[in-house]
Amino acid sequence: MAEIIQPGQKNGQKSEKLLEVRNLCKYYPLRKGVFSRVSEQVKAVDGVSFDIRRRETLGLVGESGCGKTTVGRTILRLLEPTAGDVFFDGTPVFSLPGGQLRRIRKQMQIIFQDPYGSLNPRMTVGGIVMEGMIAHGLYSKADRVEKAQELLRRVGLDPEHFYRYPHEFSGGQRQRIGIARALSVEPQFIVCDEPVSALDVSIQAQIINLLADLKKELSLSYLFIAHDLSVVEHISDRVAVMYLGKIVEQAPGEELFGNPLHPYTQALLAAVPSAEPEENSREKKKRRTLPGDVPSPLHPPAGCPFHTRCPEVMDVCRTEMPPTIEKGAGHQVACHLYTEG
Amino acid sequence: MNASGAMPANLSPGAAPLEGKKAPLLEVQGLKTYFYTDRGVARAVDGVSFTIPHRSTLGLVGESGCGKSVTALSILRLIASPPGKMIEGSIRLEGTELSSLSEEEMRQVRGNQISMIFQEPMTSLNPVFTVGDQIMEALLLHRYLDRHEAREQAVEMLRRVKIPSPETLIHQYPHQISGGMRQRVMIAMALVCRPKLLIADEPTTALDVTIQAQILELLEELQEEFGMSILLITHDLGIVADLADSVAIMYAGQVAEYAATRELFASPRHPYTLGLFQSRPRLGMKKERLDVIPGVVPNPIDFPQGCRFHPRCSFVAEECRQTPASLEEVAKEHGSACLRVQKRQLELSRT
Repeated sequence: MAEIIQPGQKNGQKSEKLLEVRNLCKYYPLRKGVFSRVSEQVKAVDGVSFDIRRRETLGLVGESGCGKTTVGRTILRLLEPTAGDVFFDGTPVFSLPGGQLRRIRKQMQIIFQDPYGSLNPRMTVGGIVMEGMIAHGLYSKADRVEKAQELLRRVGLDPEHFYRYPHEFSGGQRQRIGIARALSVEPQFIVCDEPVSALDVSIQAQIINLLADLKKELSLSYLFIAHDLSVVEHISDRVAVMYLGKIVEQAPGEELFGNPLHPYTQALLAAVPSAEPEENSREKKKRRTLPGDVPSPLHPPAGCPFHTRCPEVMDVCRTEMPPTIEKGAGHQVACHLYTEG
Repeated sequence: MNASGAMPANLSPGAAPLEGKKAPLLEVQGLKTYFYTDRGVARAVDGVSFTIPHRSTLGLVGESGCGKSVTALSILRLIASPPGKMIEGSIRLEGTELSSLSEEEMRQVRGNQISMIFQEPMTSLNPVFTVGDQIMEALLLHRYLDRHEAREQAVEMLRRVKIPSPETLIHQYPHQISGGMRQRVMIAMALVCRPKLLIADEPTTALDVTIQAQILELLEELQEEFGMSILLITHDLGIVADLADSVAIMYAGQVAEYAATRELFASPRHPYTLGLFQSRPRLGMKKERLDVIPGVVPNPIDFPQGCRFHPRCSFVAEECRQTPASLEEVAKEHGSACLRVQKRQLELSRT
């Protein structure tokens, strides 16, 4: 583990890294009895480390319950971390007092999955987009309106929509409103938490293209959380795969999709039905089906969390957590198959 | 006016090559189901025809609001009326017209000859009954078994859907089991009376990919074992490629294109189908930008004049704005509702 965990100030000058996450943990206590004593802990996120460089998109994939959403929210301190560190542009996010935290939050925004639930139905679109500007004391009153309308145009809406309410819009349009809101405070970094999974295929493509354009234009960095591997491959520069609260593999996109090392990543890729009927032969399907369910994070298996479903399980996997090791440039994997020699 | 209602039966997707030998399992002809709302008449399903032969799978593909679920519910006569009403068309199951059956007779069809599984297994299972009770319900109702026999068959069925210890599971409640297990229970419930047709409405959309792969494999095995046909409703072309023998692509309440699965994937003949292919990122085929279908799905209360896809179509011609499009055979057993494809003005290819 030591080789990848090296906090912030490594190279004295302003680092290429915008965000550094080190050994992030988020446990939820389960309370029982009259005195609500903590009886057990759900380890939603358990020792996650990664970097995001400037103008980079890191894709975070995994199945439901693997902790990917919790990672996104804990980084922004929308959830309080149990342990670990996050450095944003060298500043430790977790030890900041309120005022400074607010300043750094201006730099870090989030787009949510559910375009229906994440917009206040009683506010106009303009109000929603301007709320962040007001909270951070940006622009004069008149400039705000202008700025908000410009943002609406930028995300593909009509500036006239400024005066309307969220219920008047379709799912794709609401997601555009959410994007305009995130952009309103001119952030450098946006957590995109399943931004397209609630949308129809044709609308998904529109939003994905919009996010890619905005990234280029505004030099943004994204943490792109999703369960859809083809979407993640499309948008990400680097990809991290999570399983039961841990990152099991991390690599540049092409490398990860072209040369997946961890058996879980391999199974995940193989499970996506191909859009070519010929490629879905019986035999191929047999190989790709991973048995069993994801174990409960309340009682994760001992050793490697994946060993209960792993087709290549060895004795050591049942008892020891594999260390994360480097296999080639920027390709990290936590699996005993690669620890020998 | 009547867009695709008049389509001859042998043009329908999935029509068996062996002619006249045996009636297909399901024949839907010119189905129209409208909803009468305060804002106007929503033409949710507006002239849909298809056939499903025995032992085969038809994939019904489309985006939300295209009418694919309403089509399925119309087959089962489960459309709430008011506001909905099937106003035209015929639905024949092995020759029997379902729309003229009495409610009592229809009850003998549902869950017995045709059954359905839904997207969200949690909301379609009853939370206050055990898994066993829910599976046994259909057996008690349709097969007149006593509770003991029914329980035995329920356990057997759970074993068939590969639930590890069915004897314990039948005493559990839906909230005690995982999403993948719930979907297996749903499948067991649907198949316990050996229906001839299984309607699967987005059966894996709520599941993770590794669990989805398990369920798809299970469906395929069970189909082989029980010899049923499947009407598979989905928005995911990957699942269709995986499971379906033939495909009908729906847009705005109508079938835009149908063909055998391989044929449709190899040479789509409607711009909307092509758009669906191009707009989806595909594993191992990374490209700079996705080709989008501009605009949004039209409102069923106010469909565009002419071809319903024309405002979003990149191949639109003057005629498309005026003339309503209807399905026509453009290649062997390959139907397209694109006017320009029909006139050989347009060649489409997936790149």
